[in-house]
Amino acid sequence: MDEKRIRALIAKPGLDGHDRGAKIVAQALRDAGMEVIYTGLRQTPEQIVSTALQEDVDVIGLSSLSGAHSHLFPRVAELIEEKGRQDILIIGGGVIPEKDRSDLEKKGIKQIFTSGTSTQDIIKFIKENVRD
Amino acid sequence: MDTQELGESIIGGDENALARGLTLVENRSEGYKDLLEYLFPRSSSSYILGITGPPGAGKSSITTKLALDMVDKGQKVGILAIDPTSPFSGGALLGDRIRMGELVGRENVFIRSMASRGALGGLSPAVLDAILLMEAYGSNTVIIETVGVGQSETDIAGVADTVLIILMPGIGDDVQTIKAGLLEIGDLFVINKADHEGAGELSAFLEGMLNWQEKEKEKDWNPPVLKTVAISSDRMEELLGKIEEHKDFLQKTDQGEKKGLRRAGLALKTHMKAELEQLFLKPLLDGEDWRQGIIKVQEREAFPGEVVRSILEKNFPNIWR
Repeated sequence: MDEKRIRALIAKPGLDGHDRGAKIVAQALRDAGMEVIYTGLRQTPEQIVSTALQEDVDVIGLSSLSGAHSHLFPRVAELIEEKGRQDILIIGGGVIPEKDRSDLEKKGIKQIFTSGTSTQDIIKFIKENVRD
Repeated sequence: MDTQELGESIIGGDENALARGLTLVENRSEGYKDLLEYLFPRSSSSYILGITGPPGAGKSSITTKLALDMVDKGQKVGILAIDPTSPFSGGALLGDRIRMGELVGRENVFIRSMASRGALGGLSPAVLDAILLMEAYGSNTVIIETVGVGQSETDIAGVADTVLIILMPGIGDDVQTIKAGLLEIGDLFVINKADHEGAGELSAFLEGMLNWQEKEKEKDWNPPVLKTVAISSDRMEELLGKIEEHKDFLQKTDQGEKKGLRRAGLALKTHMKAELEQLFLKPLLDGEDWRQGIIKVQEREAFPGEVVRSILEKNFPNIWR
């Protein structure tokens, strides 16, 4: 009788003005059978974490195009840890220079997907790494 | 965490516990029935406001404004925002929160997006259970925002104390509004985006139709028609006033009790259906006779009704007597 579905939050922290990429990812995850919560532009890390907890998501996908990822992504991971919810998988995407990648991964962002990534790779990564 | 612990935490107002409980009942995961049975006698009914109407009319924006005001007045508000599940992938894009930014992170507001998961009529099968969890958590008002299809989501009438229908000008001819059954279930009507052309005409038409319906039914509540512009909060005060009026009306007449009875009946029916499906329907649909039946119908050897009758007779002898 169990009807478990993966719940994902796609969120855009910071001041980016457009979200085409985030919407494409959201749609791809939906088409892969996930329930995707999309919150729109200009969310603070606090808002993102509050949403993630209320919605009890399995994965948070953060997107940033404006260069503020090094501050905003780890802040989300930090807040999630404060709430004791390290079981939630955090991934990131957008315009992220290669040199920032390892630092973000050290700070709790499990994987970075930059532009040009196939949505199939993202889906595969989520399915393999999400909590049971 | 065992079910009772989870239940206690929900009653204690633990947000995380409520979130996990909601996932449990939505997924029909092990222990969900125990959780519901634990919470039921330990919680009391809330005021349930249903919001429905076509996509883009402003359901989420109005929900946000209403919830903000209710919280300011000291209430604890739970919001269930329902969006459609894709019948093709089983996935869903839940986007009601885009308009609810002002509510995020506020105290005494809990928002949960739910996918309809195949339910027709605009509500998810787990909605009644989700309401119970929110009540146990201490919400005194639960707002349910239905799937925005506009022509069939009349299920909300069986669940809500007050049904708010939100329409907007410019979405087709006026007959679209009276086709559906929306007119019959509404306690309050809102024409949102009233600064757009055609709002006056739509309002006049609606009032005319409601007036006529009133005479037919002789109800004692006259559903008002309000014009709002949710993004500028224009006339939201008036809407809130009307909602309070309807709440009073329910308390002062027997209508409130009638609605409560209807909701109890719906809850009972939902559980009966789920058990019957599990006990009787599922084994039949998994059986060999069913597979054979499909082939017979496809080859026009037997009419569907005939196949069904023979399967039932075989499994439940004397069922027709």
